Amino acid sequence: MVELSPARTWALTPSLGEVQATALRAARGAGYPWGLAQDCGWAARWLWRYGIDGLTPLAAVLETPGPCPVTLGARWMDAPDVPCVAEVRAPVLLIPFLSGRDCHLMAETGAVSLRGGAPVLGALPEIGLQRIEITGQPEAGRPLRIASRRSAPGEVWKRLKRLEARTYAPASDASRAGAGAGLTDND
Amino acid sequence: MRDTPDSPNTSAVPSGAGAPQNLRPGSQVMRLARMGSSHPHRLSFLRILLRRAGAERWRFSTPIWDINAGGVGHAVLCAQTPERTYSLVAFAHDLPDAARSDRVIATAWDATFALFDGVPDAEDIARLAANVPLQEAGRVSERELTLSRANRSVRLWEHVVEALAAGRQPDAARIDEVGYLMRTTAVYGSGKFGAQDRAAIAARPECAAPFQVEMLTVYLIRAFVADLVEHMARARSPGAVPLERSLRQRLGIGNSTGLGMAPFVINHPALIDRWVTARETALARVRALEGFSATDQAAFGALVTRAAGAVDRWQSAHPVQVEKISALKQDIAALQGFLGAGPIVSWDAIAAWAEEHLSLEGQEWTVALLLELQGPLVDDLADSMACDEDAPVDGGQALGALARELAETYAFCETADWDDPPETARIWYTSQEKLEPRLGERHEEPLGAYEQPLQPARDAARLVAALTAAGTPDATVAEFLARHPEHRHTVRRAQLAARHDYAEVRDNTIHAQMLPIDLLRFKLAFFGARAFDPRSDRWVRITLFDGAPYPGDLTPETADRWLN
Repeated sequence: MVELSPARTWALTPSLGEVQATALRAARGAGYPWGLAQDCGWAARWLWRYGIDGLTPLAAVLETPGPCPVTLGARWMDAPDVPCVAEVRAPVLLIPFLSGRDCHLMAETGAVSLRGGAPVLGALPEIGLQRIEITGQPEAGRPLRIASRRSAPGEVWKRLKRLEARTYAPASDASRAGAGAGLTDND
Repeated sequence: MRDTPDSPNTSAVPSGAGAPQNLRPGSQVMRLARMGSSHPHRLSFLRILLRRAGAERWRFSTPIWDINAGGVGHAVLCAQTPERTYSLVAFAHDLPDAARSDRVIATAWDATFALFDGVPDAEDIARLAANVPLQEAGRVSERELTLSRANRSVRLWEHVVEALAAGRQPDAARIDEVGYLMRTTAVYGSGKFGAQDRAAIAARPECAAPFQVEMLTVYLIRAFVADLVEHMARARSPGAVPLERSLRQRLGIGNSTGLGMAPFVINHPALIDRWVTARETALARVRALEGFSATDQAAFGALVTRAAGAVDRWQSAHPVQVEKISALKQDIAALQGFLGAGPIVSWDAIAAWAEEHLSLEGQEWTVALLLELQGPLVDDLADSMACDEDAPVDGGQALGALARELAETYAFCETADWDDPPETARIWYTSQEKLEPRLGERHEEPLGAYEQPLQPARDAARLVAALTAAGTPDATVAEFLARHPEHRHTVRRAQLAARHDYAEVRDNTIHAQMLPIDLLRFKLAFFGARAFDPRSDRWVRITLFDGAPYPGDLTPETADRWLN
């Protein structure tokens, strides 16, 4: 029989699909409604594609209560409005939600513009709670290009997987029967 | 609903994408009973793959075959397209019978595979050898496009090896009875377990249509397996003979598909809409053709006869499928009677007659055949079957407009009483043990907290109730969702379904009578599977590529003329 490799989870370089699925499930595990959990997955993937680690701020946001950037971002995307002033944690997670129009996000610890759907980075905002302002005037600069794969911080990945695990039902005889096989399949 | 032209002849000249066409509505096409009667057709994904491979004269080779007399080792099979090479890296194992299971939760297989993007060097192969045999417990990288594994059909494998080793051919009836020497139990693509994301390869012409690298994987597995069975016969006896060409060609690759595939159909509404739009547009183009010549009649009649042969060979022990096959056979006899009874005025007349007189199984079988002879008219639609799946919420929509769209999309459950236990009898969830989708009994097991969002009809009913309670038809979706984020996924879906007629499954996916195999068959038919053999209401066996030419025989002429 095959032994499972104990080291397999670490030094993980996830695909975009894995980033998205992990963020979505972790958000659901943290109690987010499905629609916002989908937005968490979408936002994490969007950032990852540009080489920006959205998982570390997401884990922080999901683990402790406070003004949520994904909730704010989704609302802003539903009804874009500039200027918009708010207090929010981890403003980096707002970036994907602003990508539908050219605008500028100014946070206390950093700033990002959106031009033609791509981010133009100043300094990436830090994770803590801060005041942000969204205005309609993007700053000059070269938009980021799609990045090659990057690794995920193993400790953050573990924390997200712990949240994800809350979405899974404990095994029972019924759940084992629930997949539907039953006849002999060794023929 | 789609607009219906005043006269069915107004669009007699087939037109390109985007032109108005008389399509079957989603309310008809996307019912589960009809989805569960789907048949493969010209726009099925393995047909698209073979057409391209044949037309572009892809070159196939086996640069590495390092497998010992015990059947253990590895091989590399390459497919060279005009611009790139894709390589199946195959690992053959020596699996004791007791360890062989088709369950996706198994931990050992007769053979394991990865599709490598390019030509692997020794280092790549060493890395894959350490991971691919572990499947879900290993990791692959962005150099790999798929990860897969297969088990032997014990009954057929030994028969074929024994016969070939003894210098004779295996029994054709036994080959037809099983249909494959190995069956895959999973073919993982698009980003799974570290593999490359589809987005990264979707712009390549040969990867643009859905599931092309997955289909290429299975096609190369089939070639590997046929070579392996001959290798094993030779290892047993120097007098072994190769498998006779026509017998070899009859063999496909089996596949066991359980519940794991069902959520895909619900989780990818925009994509599913593209698939069905392509098929329905093809049908509409055929139905818009004027006239039906004696040549048409002869060609279609011959096609029906050939395809009926495949139905005669279709075996299933599942009572529901046995009944459907029996009805299909009667349908075929009736169709042949209709075709023989008098002059047919048009292709449309056949479609209209089938819709009126045949079972769902017979109707959808006829749809597949109506497309079959019209390659130049419909094959371009293969390029329209993929899409960007991002679906932002339209926050500016008025709630009154959303309510009207909901009423139309979910009209099928307008009268459902959601307090009646059978309406919500089932619950989709994921088990902690194997991280696999499961279907439980909601009213008998404490699973409510783990529910997955795979019941759009019930969720739509909840949204309708919330909109009614809000009583503000002029307010916007953005205002509503700010107060009710729990409806966000349902709003997103309903808005998408209003724009895309085939996005939504028009049935209650948690009803006590719901058959998951209907969802599985719908998807598998788009893959190009046939000989559907449900083993329960949530597990189905199929074969892929049975009858198809092998790589060495693939030409523009053979690529499309084998299915019927």
